[in-house]
Amino acid sequence: MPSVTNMLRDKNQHGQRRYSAFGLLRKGLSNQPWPRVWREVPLKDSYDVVIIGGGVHGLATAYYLAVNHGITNVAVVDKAYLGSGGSGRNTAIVRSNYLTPEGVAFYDRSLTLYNSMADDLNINVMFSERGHLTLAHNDSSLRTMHWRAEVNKLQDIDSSVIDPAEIKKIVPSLDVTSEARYPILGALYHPPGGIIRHDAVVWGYARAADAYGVEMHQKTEVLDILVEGGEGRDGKGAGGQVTGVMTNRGKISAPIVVNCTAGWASLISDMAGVDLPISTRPLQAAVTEPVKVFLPAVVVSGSLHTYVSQTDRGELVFGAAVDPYNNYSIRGSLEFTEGLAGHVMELMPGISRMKLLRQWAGLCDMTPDYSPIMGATPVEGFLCDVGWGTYGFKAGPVSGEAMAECIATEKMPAIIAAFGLERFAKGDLVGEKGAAAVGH
Amino acid sequence: MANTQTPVFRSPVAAGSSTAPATMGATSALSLADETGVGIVSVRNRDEGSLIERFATRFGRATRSGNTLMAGQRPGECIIMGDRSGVVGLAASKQLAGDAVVELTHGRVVLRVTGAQASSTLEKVCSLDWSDAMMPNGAVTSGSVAKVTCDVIRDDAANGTRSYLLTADRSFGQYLFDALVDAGDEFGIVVG
Amino acid sequence: MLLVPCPNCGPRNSSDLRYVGESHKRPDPATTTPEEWRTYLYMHKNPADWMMETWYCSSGCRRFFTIERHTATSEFRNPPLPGGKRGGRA
Repeated sequence: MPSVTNMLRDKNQHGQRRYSAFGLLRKGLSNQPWPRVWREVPLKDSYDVVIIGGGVHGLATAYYLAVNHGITNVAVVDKAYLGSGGSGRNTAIVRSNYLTPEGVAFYDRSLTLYNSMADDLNINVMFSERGHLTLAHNDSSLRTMHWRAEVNKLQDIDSSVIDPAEIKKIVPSLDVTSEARYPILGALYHPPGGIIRHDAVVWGYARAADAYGVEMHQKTEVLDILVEGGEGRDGKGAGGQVTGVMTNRGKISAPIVVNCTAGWASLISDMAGVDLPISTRPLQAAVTEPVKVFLPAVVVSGSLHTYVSQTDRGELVFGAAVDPYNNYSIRGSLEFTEGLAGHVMELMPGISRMKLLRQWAGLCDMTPDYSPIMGATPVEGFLCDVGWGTYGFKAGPVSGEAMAECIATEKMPAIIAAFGLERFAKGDLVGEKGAAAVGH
Repeated sequence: MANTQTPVFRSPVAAGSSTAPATMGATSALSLADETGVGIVSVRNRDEGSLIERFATRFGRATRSGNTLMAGQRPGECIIMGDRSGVVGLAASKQLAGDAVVELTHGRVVLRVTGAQASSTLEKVCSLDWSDAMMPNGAVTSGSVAKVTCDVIRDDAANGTRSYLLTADRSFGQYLFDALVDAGDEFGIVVG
Repeated sequence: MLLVPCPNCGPRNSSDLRYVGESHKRPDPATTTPEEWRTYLYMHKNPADWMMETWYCSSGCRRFFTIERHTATSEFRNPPLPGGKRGGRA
């Protein structure tokens, strides 16, 4: 528990002003501007670690490098602004009821970190642990739900299969009658799941990393990765050693370069001569006008490729499955809106008169087994934290923690040992069918 | 083993399942008829030329001789429709080595949409171009109609009335029938 | 809706076809090593550029065909000739 003196103390140990209710009140009364959340400093020509991608994964990696391992001579570079990619485009759902033991252990750690994030980072991330329902519309998905529940229980995750009457109690607006085209037969109920404000998570990590001296460089696009001694073109590829990156703002030397991008992971890795088993696909989402709060939980339907939650402002946020073909375009499509409307009305006929305010898309790097690719690559000093597909956001904190450990100790931590790139050459895949892209 | 029983081909479309009025004979501007049970045989051969020669049709075109319709349904695949024993016999009599001949009568639903408004009805549930320029009499194509994959043959009546034959997997039959009745409602569709 | 130029059926809605993915030359199963085979199965170039890819015309002619598409703009170019002569798996 922070003491009153602590709460009133103006600055934290790094000279940053703490966020607090008292501070908010004082700013409100004095009408003073808020200070910048992180510093803008000139780009140096060398760092210990360069992290490509200023999203949750990149920033969390930088933060845990500084906090857990004391490595602070770190630059996070992003070609646009922090949180401009998947971190700001996801539907902000966090949960840990995955299907593989590896996946469950991983996301449970992530959920733990999300739970204590507001305290750890001194920022209100508005985490709302409201419960997460995955609906089953047929026998086979009900069977998968039971399977997932048992895998989850084995690892002490709060997860169980509930029947339509209980579903109706939790979410009264759902159509649980047997007349529905896709009748609801049951659901996997996961009380610790919920939603979180994704922008605040990005800013929180950026602010906390900044306090430790990590530098964030926005509008800094990596044009090339400098590798020496490799067997591929220009000394790149397997056997090479990273020496730095070339950006639109000049050359940066660094012995370690980490690829924390989503959507552009293949293109960045290609700069180092590393091939990845990734296909990039957009995932579309949409948001309605705000209405009174009526949806108390996150509702997911794999068969209907839809998930929906209501924000604190009252908007309904919808997400879908990935588009059916590879694409780097983040434009929305009409068939998505049409399909989404049909599917959501199937679940909740009562919202037929609601209007969609906007739709958008984020790029998902899909791997053959729907599991991420983390850790070392055939190029010495070039690490990956990519291939997150449809669920990178909820894994942000734990992958940052694990990647930081991987960089500092030069060993794969046990929690991500199954996710190495070499698993594809060895045929040792980790099938994660609990991912949002998979219809059951 | 001789099997002397004659198989009966029942339609998946339940009789009297529609709210649209039934008529005897297609006198309306738009009618929907269930022709399931008409014999269907598929003949496939990698040699497209040999199919063209034997069945007097090519991919994308259908020719009618009497009650028998021969349609180049896909590259290297000809569909013969008509009286069941007739089409089975016809396929057998023209069979060559390298042919894959499969009777599909039991597995398909056959619906016929006839009348001046037939294309307007189908345009509502299908993205294919139903104009006369793209789909004149005798044209053959396939695509998704009301989200069901259908084989489509434009097969106008003898008096020149516009008519389309739709063939789909029989498990979709009732749904497809209902979807077409629904789409044709505004044009006063009748069943029969 | 993306219109995919099927060599047999003409332009069709992408929902009428199935996307197969990036086209690769398949190694000979009789002589390939497990590593080569897995590289063929899993590895992709995934460019943000023109890419040769395979589609299956599931609602139309039921043929596989390969075509070049730009993965950022979704324009198509170099459609194969009817019958899938260029690279088709017909």
